[in-house]
Amino acid sequence: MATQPGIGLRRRVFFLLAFCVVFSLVLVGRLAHLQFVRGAELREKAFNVRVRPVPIEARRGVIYDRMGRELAVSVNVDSIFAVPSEVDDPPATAQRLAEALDLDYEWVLGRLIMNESFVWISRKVSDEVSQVVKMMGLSGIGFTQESRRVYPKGSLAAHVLGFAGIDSQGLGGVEYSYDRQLRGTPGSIVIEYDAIGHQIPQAMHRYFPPTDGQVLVLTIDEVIQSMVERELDQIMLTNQPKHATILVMDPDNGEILALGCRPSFDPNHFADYPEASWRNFAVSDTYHPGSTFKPVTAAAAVEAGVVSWDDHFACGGSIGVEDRRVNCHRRGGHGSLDLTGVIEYSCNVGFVQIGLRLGIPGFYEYWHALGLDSATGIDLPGEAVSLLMPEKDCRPIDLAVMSFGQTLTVTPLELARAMAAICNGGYLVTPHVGKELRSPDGKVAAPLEWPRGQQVLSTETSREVSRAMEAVVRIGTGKAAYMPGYRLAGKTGTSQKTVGGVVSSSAFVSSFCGFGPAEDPEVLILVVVDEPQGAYYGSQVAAPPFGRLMRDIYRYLEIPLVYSAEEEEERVERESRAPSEVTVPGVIGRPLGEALALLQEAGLRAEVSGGDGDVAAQTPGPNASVPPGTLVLLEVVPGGPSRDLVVVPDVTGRSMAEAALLLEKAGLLLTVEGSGMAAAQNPTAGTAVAPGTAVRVVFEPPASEGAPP
Amino acid sequence: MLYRRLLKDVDFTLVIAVVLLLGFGLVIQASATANMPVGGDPWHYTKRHAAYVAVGLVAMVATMVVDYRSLARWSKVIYVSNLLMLGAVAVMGRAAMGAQRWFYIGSLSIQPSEFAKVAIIISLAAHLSRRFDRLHRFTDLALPFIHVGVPVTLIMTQPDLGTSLVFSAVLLGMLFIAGARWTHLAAVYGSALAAAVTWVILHLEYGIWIPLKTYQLNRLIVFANPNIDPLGAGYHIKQALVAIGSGHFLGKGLFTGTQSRLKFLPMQHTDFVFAVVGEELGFVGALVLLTLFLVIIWRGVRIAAEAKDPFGTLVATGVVSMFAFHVLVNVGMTVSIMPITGIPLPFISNGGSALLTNCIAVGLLLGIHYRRRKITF
Repeated sequence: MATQPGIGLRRRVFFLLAFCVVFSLVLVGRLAHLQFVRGAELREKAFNVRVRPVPIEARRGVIYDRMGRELAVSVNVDSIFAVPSEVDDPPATAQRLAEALDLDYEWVLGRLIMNESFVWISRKVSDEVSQVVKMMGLSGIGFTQESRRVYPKGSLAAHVLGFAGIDSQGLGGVEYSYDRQLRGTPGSIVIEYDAIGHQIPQAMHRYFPPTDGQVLVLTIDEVIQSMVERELDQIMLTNQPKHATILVMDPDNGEILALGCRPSFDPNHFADYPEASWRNFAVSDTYHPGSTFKPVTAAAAVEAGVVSWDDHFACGGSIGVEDRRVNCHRRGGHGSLDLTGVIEYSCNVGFVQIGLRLGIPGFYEYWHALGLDSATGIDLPGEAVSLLMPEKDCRPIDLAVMSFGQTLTVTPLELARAMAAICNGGYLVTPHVGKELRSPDGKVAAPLEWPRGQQVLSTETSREVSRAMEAVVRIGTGKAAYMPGYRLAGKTGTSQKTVGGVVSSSAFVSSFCGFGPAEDPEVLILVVVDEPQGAYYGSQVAAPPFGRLMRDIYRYLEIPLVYSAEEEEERVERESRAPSEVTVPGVIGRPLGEALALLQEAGLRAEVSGGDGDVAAQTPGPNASVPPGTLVLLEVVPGGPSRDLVVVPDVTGRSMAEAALLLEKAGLLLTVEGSGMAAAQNPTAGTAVAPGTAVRVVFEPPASEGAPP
Repeated sequence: MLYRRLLKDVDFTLVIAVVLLLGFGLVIQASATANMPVGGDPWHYTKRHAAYVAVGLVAMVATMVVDYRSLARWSKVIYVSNLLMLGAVAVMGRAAMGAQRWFYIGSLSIQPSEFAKVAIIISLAAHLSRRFDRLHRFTDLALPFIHVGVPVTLIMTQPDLGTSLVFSAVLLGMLFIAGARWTHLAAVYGSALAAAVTWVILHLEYGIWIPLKTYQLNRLIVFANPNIDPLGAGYHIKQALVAIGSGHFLGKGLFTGTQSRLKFLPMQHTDFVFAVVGEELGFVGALVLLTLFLVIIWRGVRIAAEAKDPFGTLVATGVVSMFAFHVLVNVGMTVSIMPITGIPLPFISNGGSALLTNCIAVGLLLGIHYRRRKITF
């Protein structure tokens, strides 16, 4: 007798069924909620989870110099990436990639087996390398076009240009300060991917084109910049300083025509250079201006009306201030000097008196007015600001020393701006390197606005101090830069560096700050040489490059020479002694030896570049009328009939290192006699000799000028 | 004669529902595995599934033909050999996805814990049928718990939390139908749940040993807070929700579900197959599927009520409990109202052992129905 399930069973079974039905209804309710209430949101999520934007780099804008010469361009290059899940044989692929790209095998393999849908293998590779890898036909390895920054002029103006990194982001110079404009807007391709990162064929692709970056035109002039680079190279060779910087500015509007620093770097390979070489010394560092600061004190005192040009200042070699004595650089003193004389001879005692008359509040007032306590606002990154001791801590002895430029520091750029105000009629300009921005196609131009700034000095003060500074170059401490007709004005500076709080007797900063033509300046140049070895007076170290640059810039910008009555007289006298003009013979195509003989016959000097062979080019050209003794530059193509002989270059006036370099370039040996600058040489310049011939060069110390600091 | 009897006594509603489910499952499997080619054959999994369906149908008929009452006599043999199977897999079974559940005979993998479900239903039914309606005392529950507890312990060591829970559900259902007091059952299951929760909390707070793997624990934590780790442990549930939700009313259509085809949805052909249904066939498809399951449960409950003897009633109850638990928990976890426990959806999920077990279970139901109480006798 089996127990028959009773009535209780029916209830229990019904309960079981009811439970299942109720639970199912809950599930259906939940389903309805998910699919109808939250459906749209979840559908959107389902879409977003599988699309991924791949950025397309915008082409970075070109940077031109003021004449439209390319300084920075962008070229299309390939970047190599991998889709790890599609790489068939990671070890073999890694092996081949590592070889072709000169990468570490382990590193490449590590990337090929990463749990990522996309990894870069090598960004912005050269065309040849990219071709080689493309030929391999590796699975899972892809190529995309990116743009790479190229600086066709190498290290030229490196500190102005800066550089752009691997993602085309500006990292220094105008590449940084104008990054937003140069960069453009990246576009993208939206690509649908599956969960493992495979691109879905024929799936949704949307293309958003990038907007290319704007074109930047600089105030820099490539020709003047290359002159600056040349002079900097020469300074580094001759004086072996720690740093050097040269800044060329249009004092009327603050346009920087050239700016160079040493040590320098090549922005194409910036990472290969120490970071210290990226530093823009002219903008980011302060230095001791020394005597180059004196015109500022003079201008302030004249403007404040505390001195007049007729005032006389007595210099007995030293002056007592508070309980201290301040010495002049000339032991016996300068005697009695008028204001022009004080500036001309850079008399420290005279400047102490001028400074004391100006007083502490006056000094600080003009320090501020001439913009020395604030950033100039230049469009380059990392600008430093000079620091002066607080006015309340300043005692008369501090003022006395600062009056001739000791103990205070400024940035080269600040001093250049103050000097520009002194010579341009008193306006405080904003130094800048950006001239205009253009649309990517170059058609629409938008000039960058640079206000001329406030007038901080009267026109008279400006004219008078400029005149006094012209006297410095004509007959005073800046004589090394004098050239008749150029009307150059300037001031040398030699300051002792403070090393670890102690005034050093061996570390100097040599500088020269000047402009020309004095009456209506078109060019202002500041040369700063930090810790030159050997000669250290500004007149020896900084004035000669200043003079050479002015000479070349005058020629390049075709600034007319204006001779003073005195200069006119000298010139007439000189010309009466010698034929005023000679005609340059045409020597192009002639063998070098013959060409040199012809030039010598005509009373001209020659400088040869390119070694040996036939003359390919000459400057000045044939039939030009030039003064006798003018240097004719000859460019030679190698392989002429006289290839067995080399021409001795002219090394007179060069330093020993330079002479050695020139002779070495020509394939000759140097025999040294004496020390200093080359005064004579045998065989003489222009002689054709066998390669390897020893050239005896007599060096003599430069003529002593008794140059003051 | 036999033909007429078949027509009269076979539960065709149940047969049709099961056949429809098997067809449904085959189509969904084809869609869900089309992006998982094996050896270049996108239909590899589909073909295999079709073969299991065929074998399953044969097993279903064979089980129906055997008189289920003879199984009661063999229940001890079934029980012991089942324990041996589970013990063997614990010792020598191969690990797959962190669990040691499979048993390989040649290239065929067998999951003994699936077959154990039917084995335990039969042996427990035989055990309880002798105490039918005589389980009034609390202590009467001890023996049935031991009966199920031994194989569950073996399964837990694999570890297979989901299958262990299936057994407790089956035990609950069968005890309830066998006449155990609901207060007693509530006390036991309630305190077990409380103990489990306490254990987990103690483990998380004080590092007390727990027979769970990290991923199993994570699933529980994620169930409590699905946003805690959207790319890790919470990834499954997020992707399943997105898949279902994006299906709307009619779905995206077979073979076009982006979540499943693009491999965002994990285990789309096994535990999360319901999400594929939701995404590709929408609300309507999901509703049809749930309705088919409810038909099976309804027929099963009816068969339990009409069975000729308590053994039949209990076997039918066990089968119904098993199906109900599978469906409710699997769908529940896919729509995230239950924690993820790795329980497949009967007849739909990929997996030969489970399919075969389910077919045998349906065969048991059909057999009990075929031999039900006849009013005419």
